[in-house]
Amino acid sequence: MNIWQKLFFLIMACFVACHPKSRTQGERLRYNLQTEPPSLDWSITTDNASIEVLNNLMEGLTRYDENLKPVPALAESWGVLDDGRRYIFHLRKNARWSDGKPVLADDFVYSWQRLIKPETAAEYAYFIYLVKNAREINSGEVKDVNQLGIRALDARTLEVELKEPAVYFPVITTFVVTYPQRKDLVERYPESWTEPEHLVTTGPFVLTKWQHEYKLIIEPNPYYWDKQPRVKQVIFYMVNERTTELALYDTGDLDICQLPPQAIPSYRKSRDYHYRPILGTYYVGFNIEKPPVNNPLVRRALAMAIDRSKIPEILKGDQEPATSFIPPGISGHNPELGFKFNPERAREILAQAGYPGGKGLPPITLAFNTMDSNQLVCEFVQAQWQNNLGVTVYLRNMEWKVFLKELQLDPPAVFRLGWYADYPDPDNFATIFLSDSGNNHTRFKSKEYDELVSRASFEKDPQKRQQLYDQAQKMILEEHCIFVPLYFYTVNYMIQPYVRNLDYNPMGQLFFKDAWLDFGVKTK
Amino acid sequence: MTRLILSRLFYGAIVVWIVATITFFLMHSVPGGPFDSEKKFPPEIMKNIQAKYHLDQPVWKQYVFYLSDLIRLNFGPSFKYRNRQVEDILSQTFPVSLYLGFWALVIALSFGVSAGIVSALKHNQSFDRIAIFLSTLGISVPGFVLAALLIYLVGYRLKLLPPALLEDWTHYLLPAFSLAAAPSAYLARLTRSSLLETLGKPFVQAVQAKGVYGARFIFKHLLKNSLSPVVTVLGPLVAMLITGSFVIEKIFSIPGMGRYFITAVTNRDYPLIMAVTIVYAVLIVVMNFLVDIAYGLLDPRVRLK
Repeated sequence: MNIWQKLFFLIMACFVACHPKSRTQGERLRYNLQTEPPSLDWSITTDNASIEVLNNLMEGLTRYDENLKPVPALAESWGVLDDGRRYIFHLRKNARWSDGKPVLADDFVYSWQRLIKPETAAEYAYFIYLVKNAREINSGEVKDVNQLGIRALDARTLEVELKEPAVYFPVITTFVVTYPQRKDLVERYPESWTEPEHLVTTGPFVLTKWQHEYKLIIEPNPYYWDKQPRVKQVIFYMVNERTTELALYDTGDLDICQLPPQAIPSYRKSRDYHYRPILGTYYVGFNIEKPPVNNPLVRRALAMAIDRSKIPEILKGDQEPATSFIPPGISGHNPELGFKFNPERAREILAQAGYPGGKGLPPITLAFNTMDSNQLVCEFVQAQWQNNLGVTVYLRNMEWKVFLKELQLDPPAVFRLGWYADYPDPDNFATIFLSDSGNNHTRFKSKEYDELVSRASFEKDPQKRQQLYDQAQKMILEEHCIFVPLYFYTVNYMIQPYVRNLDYNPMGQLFFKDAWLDFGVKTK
Repeated sequence: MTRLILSRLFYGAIVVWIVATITFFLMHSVPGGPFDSEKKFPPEIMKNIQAKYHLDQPVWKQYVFYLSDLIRLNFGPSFKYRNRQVEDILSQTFPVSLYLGFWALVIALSFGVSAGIVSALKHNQSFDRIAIFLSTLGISVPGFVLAALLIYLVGYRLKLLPPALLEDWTHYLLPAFSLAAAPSAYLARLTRSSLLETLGKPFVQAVQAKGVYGARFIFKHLLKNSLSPVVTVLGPLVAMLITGSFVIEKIFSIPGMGRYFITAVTNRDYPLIMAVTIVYAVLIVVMNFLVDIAYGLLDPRVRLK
C-alpha cells in the first residue's frame, strides 16, 4: 500500500466516523415537513406546513377526539344558549402559556379581534364569519372592533354570540385561527413574536429552534395542562425533494416520511408502509355554461363512462374510488349517490343528446395543473371517455397559479380539482357549490340548493340532516351533474418500526404528543 | 482609477435599474397573483389583502413605490412568508449559498485548471484523452443526475457521507462536488484549449530556447498568457455559484438562496422575485468589473480606461 492509498483510506475512515449515527440519539422524532412553514402567526396562516407545526404547539378551546368530534381542550366545558346562537366557554384553571402565565378569556378576545381587523388581512378570517358582526368588521362596514360578538365575562369565562345558530360551532374552535394570542408579546414584537425567542404557546410543545428553510425543533411545554409528551424533542426538517426524503428515511435519518405515487410500488411490501384515508375528494368539474358540457345529458354520459375502480391501480396509493362527494368518515357520506360506471347507459344518453357514438360532439379539453398524479388521472379519464364514448379528448396542463387564475376568470369547460376538509363537517363540502361561493367554478347557481345547504347547517337531528345532504348531493351529482367525483384521497407514508402511538387523524393532521420511541424493536 | 470606478458604478446602476424594471413588469404581467389559492376567499378578505400590500394600486404606481423603497434598500415584506422581511430571508440564506458556492469554486478551479494544464502539456497522450472524456461527461451530465447518483452511491449504498441535510461540514461535500462538476469540466477544456493555443506561439519556443522549463515556464510564461478566457468566464461563474443552485439546494435540502430563483416565481412572491433578481444582477455587474481589472493585471497591453 503506498502513501496515497493509505491517505485515501484514512480520509474515508474519517468520513465514516463523522457520519452521525442517528438511531442512537434517543428520545427524538424526526419528521419531514417538506417546506418552510410560511408563517407561524396563527391569525394569518393558511398552509398545511404551518398548521401541522401549530397543531403541536397550540391548543384552542376545543380539539378533536379520535372520531373527529370536538371535545374540551382549553375550555373545560361549554354551554349552548338561545337555541344555538350563544356559546359560553369555561376555561380550565390549569390552562397556562408556556411562560407560566394563565390563559385568560381576554387572550381569546384579543386574538379574534385581531383576526377580524381589516389591517391584519387574514385570509382565514372568514372562519369566524359566523360570529356576530365579524363580516361587517372585516369588510370595514363596522369600524369598532369591540362590536365583534365575543366577550370576556370574567377571567375564565368567554361568551360568543353568533349571527345565526350553527350546530358545528365547537368544530370551528378547534381550528388554528381561533386560538388565543398574547397581546403583550404580539404588540411588543410585531415582526418577530413567532420566532423561538418570543413565541409562547398553550399546547403540548414549545418552539425551541427555527432554522428557516431547514429545520424546526419543538420540545415539551412544561406548563401544558394535559399529560406531558413522551418524546423529548421533535425535529421538523424541510426536505423538499421526495427522493431525498426517501434516501434519508432509508439511511435512518428520518422517522416518518410521505410516499410519492411513483415510490409506492417499491415500498408497499415493507412493514413500515402505512396509508390512511383522509377527508378529501378529487373530482372533474364542468363549466356548465360552455359547450358541449352545457348539455346535462352530455355531462351525465361523461360521468357514467369512467370506471373509477381502476384508479387505485393507476395511482397505487389505496385511494378509494368515489361517485359521491362527501367523503367517508363524516356524516353526510352516502356511497349510493352519484352515477356508477355504466358504459352502455352512457352511450345511450350521449345518443339521446344527439351524439350517437360520440359523432358530432366537439372535442373536449380537460384542463389541469401540472403535477405527476394529475397527469396520470387525466390521461386515464381521457382514455375512458375516448374508449367508452368515442369522444375526442385533449389534455391541457398549466402552471398552478395560471390554472387558478383561469378558474377564477373563465373556467375551462372541463377541469380537475379537489377539496380537502377544513373541518370535518359535511357543511364544508356542500358550501363549495353555493351560488355565491368563490370555490364554485362550475357556474352552477341554484336557490334551491343554497336553501337546502343552509337548512342542513343548523339541523340538529342527525337523520334529518343526512337526508338534507343526500338531497343536496343528488342535485349536484345526478340532476345537474355539475362535476364527477373520482376518488377520496389517501396519504401514504413510511414510519420506522420503533415509532409508537403516532396520531394521524383523517384530516391529515399529525399529532406528536402521545408518540414515543420503542428501541426494543429490531430495526432492519 | 477613481474615475473608472465611478463611471463603472454609474453604468452598473443603470444596468441594475433596467433589469429591475423589466423584471417588475414581466412579473406583473404573468397570470396569477401572490394570493390566489385553491380555496377562494370572500371578496372583502381579498380586498383587505390587496390594500395591505398595495396590490390594489395601478401597476405604474406600485412601480414608483417599489423604486423609492429600493433606493432606500428596503425590499419590503415577503408575500409568501408573511412574518419575514425579504432582507432577513436573504441575509439568512445568502451566506449558506455563498459558503457552498465558494467551496464549489475552489474545487472547480483546482480540478479544472490543473487538469487543463496537464492535458495541454500531455497533449494527445492517455491522460489527455481520459481528461477530455471525463470533462465531456461532466458537461453533459446534468447536476441533478450527478447529485442523485452521489446520494444513492455515496450516501445510501456505501454510507460514507450523509445523503442530505446540513448538520456539519461533511454535509457540504456531496453538494459542493455536484455543484463543481460542470464548471470544473468546462474550465478544464477552456484551460486546455487556451494553453494549446499559447504553446503554438513563437514566444514559447523563444522562452524554451532560453532554457526555461518546469514550473517557472508553466506558471510565469504559459499560464499567465493563457488565462484571459478562463478569467472571462470566471466572472459570471462566480456570480452563479455563490447565489446558489436551485437544483442542488433542493436535492440536498440546503437552506440557501438558490431555491428562491424558482419558488419565488411559482409563489408570485413579488418582493422576493425582485430581490433575488437584483442581487444576481448586482453580482454579475461587480464580477464583470473585477474581471476587467484582472485582464489588466494579466496582460499589460490591456489598458483600463
